[in-house]
Amino acid sequence: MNSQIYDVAIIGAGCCGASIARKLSAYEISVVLLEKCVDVGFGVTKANSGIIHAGFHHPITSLKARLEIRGNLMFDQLHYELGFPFKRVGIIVVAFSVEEMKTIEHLYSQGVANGVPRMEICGRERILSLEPQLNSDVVGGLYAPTGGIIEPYRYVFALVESAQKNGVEVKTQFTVEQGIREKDYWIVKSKEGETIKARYVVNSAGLFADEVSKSFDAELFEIIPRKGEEFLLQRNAKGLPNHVIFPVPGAHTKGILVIPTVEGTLMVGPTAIETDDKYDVETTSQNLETVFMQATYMVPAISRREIITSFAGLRPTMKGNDFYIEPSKKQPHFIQVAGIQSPGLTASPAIGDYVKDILKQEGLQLIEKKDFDPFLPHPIKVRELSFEELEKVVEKDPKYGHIVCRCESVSEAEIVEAISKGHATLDGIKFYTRAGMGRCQGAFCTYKILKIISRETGMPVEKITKRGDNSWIISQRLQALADEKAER
Amino acid sequence: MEKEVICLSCPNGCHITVQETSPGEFQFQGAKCERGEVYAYEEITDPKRVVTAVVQTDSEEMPYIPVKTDKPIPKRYINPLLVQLYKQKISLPAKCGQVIIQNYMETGVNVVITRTFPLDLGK
Amino acid sequence: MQERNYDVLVIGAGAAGMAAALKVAEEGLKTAIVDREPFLGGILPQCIHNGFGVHLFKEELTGPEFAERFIQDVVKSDIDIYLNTTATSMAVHQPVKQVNLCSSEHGVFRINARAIVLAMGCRERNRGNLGIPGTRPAGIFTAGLAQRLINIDGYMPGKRVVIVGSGDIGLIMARRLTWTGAEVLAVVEILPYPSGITRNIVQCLNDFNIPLYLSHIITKIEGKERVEAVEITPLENGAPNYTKTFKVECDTLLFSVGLIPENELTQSAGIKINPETGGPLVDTRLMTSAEGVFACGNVLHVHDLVDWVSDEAQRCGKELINFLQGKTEKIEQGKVIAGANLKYVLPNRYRLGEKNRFSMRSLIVRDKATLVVRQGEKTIRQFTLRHVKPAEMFHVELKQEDLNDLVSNGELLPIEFSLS
Repeated sequence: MNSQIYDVAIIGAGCCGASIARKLSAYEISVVLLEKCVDVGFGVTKANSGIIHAGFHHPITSLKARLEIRGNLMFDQLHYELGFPFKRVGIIVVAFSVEEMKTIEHLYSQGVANGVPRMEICGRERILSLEPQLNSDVVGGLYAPTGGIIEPYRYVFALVESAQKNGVEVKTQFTVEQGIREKDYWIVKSKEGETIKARYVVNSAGLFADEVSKSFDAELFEIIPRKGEEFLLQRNAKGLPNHVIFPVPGAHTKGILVIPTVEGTLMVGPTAIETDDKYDVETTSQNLETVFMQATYMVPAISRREIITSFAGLRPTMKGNDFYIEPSKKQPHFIQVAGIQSPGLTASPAIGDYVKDILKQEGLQLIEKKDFDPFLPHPIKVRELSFEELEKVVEKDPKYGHIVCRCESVSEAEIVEAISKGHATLDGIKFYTRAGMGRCQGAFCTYKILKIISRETGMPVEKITKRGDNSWIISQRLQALADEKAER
Repeated sequence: MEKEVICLSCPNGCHITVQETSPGEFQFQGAKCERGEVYAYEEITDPKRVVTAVVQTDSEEMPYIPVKTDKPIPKRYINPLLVQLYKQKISLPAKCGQVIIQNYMETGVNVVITRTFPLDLGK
Repeated sequence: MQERNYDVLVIGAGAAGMAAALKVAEEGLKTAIVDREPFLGGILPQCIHNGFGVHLFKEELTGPEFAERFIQDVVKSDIDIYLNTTATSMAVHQPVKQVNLCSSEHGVFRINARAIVLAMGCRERNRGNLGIPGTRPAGIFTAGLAQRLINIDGYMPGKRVVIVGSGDIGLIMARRLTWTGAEVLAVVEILPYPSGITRNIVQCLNDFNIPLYLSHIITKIEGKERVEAVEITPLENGAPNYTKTFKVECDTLLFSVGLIPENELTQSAGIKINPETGGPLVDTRLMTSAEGVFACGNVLHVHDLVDWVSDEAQRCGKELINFLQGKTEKIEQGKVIAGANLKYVLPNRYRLGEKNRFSMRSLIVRDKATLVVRQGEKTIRQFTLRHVKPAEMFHVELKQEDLNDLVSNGELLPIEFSLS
């Protein structure tokens, strides 16, 4: 057993855990980030819509509204330091009736009370000039220019990379099974048979925060998964809007959105359906119908013929629908960060700060690191380079000249970089580099990537997975077949 | 014994019913032309297929090289032939048309390589 | 930056690119051919089965053998070959066209050419395009990817396989997988008839007792990490009948559900696309909306037989030569309309003074059909066709004399093809 006692162990490397880890990496403490999946950001975060909300959807009396507003403001700085793609494209909420315009007015005044800057109530003409793709039946709407978009997994990768750079340890495939309090620290045991010790534990385990809390003999509560299905359409899809388009919200959800992603594809969704299965990420044909009906009502040009893929994710909701971020009342030095559903991604940088403050109040001594480096080098992406820039890059490393993923223009060098940063599954590489994320969905690059992973890691192809566990790609090599046949 | 054969002699694709009236004697029904009966007779008495596969090489750059039988081979030989091919390992260079198995099991069928490797681009 | 000058640059070194390049190089034009892969031949080297070349070479060849006939000629010719090289962008609306290329081998460079042949082939439709419900586990491949993994790399994609779509690649893969020790449990086809040719149904499915479910669809994919099962549902009167849904346990799912011309480079260069074919709009010269840029093979429209690809590419090469020699720089062309029961007619232009060849696809299945070519009320020509179906492209030729009397007020009148 590792005899080191960490100051803080964070359970769950989603957007919250990663934000907390990165925040704590600025202080003279030892931190370990524990993740049950094969890679970080592979849980709830992976299937997030990637919206940075403006902050007008929730009343300021809620914790989530306060953190949302603060979080939104922090993204420019984070983007500058970490380089993940982020665009403040603005959010538009569209109304199709006088009745809906009343809700727009309510959202506007709520936003003003929350401190959302530069919002605007728009009439029909104004809204259509902002977004000519809208259904011309639109009556008016709300324009919030501070809303934005990111790629959630690349945001988490960047946060974790920055945290690691500043000394945080990351353990993937560490499924927390039990926490035992001993003397003044926790012993945290994993299902995989590993054990670590930490003085403070942060429970940001997303969908499994309730189970983790129980396994530490802390509060009993229930995480209710609420499923959201999303559909991704190709680059330059018909109907691609300039802003994120929202309908007037329902009682529990913000509705089906039309999202121009940071990479130029178009996304529609998500649905919001409660489920009792924390692994239920199935998509259904009924929901495809629902999503497209609602999306095309707002933006008629959207065509389902341009779908390149669909996916589903689960939001970890809790009774009361607010975030649950506070020190456990049952157990010492155990901080709950649970029920982080929408707008959790937007709030996540603020959650990092908030949890840091809680830890400080709970007695953790925080001394700023003198050599904390907030910056990450901006990785080279061939698709973003001019031809002249590409020439210089290829001169230095010819691997940038080998385009492995033709759809998203990803070079071999970028894939090698992803692997060197620990993303050695097909999904890890896909989310880090976009290789395999385009229109052909990996038909032309999977075999190349398998070989690069094998070459870089020494792993035989049969051991390579899509996303860890039993998600193998290749059952065996033909040679093995020969041996099998020979035995018979 | 009654069997159905789909004739591949032309795009018509006649479904021909074949009945063995007495040992070695057959009756054909459903063929629109005579070629159908000839085809069905062979398909019933001694069906043959061209086999294609890949064979392991000693090269990392081209770990497998494609091969084929140069003529159709009776179906009963296909599995044993495949087993032999999977066990075989050949040294490169290989030339398209190069014979790797001569007169397999006295059938008169050879197995030949169907791709030249390495290829000298010469430029 | 390094710049190289050619008369003709051919993008893509598959069946189409090689045939076109050989044609223009024969004429003494300085020609270059580029391809992303480290070898010549495009997709052919992975198509190790036989059945290629019956029309072109009058014998049955395997894919690698068919490719090799062209490869040997390309190697012997004066054509400059750039392998492992990707065309990243091009400027084509000018007399000298510029194509930007990058490669780990040749670095980053530009080719200037008087003419370009687009021959990038096509890609496969995939699960995402179909919107099939269920989970997203590992073990879902396009048939072509599985073919590549087995035949080139020697990797088996799985042990218990269900194939979606009865196109020829899917059928060929059913046999290939069986011969490599996998078990193919079902082939599922949405249409009431198979998409592949009869020979493949017999030799790739029936030989191994692999069930073919016609008018069936996959209604769910199961499995959290790796594929575990699929649900198959029959279509009745066009709608799935879920009371008859059944489950097949498997670890692998292969999609063989159609091909899409690969035209992102074309589109980014501002060349017009024909929505019916997914390829560039071309005239009778097989020239795209950018003067001096030609297209042939699967990038233009998806072919069923490589023989027709080579044929079209050679024709494309000839047209390109005529164009560069100034013979066809300005020609009058009339409109061609795809009428009843035709998905498209390619090219959708005709010209006078010579025979015209057209390729087309039917929207209907008929044992015997009549193709009528009309100008207004007047029938120009009539063809009797056998065995037309959407899965098989067919070709007709109009003779020089068929096309007389089609001028009115100095303009060529439109002609219409229709099938019944």
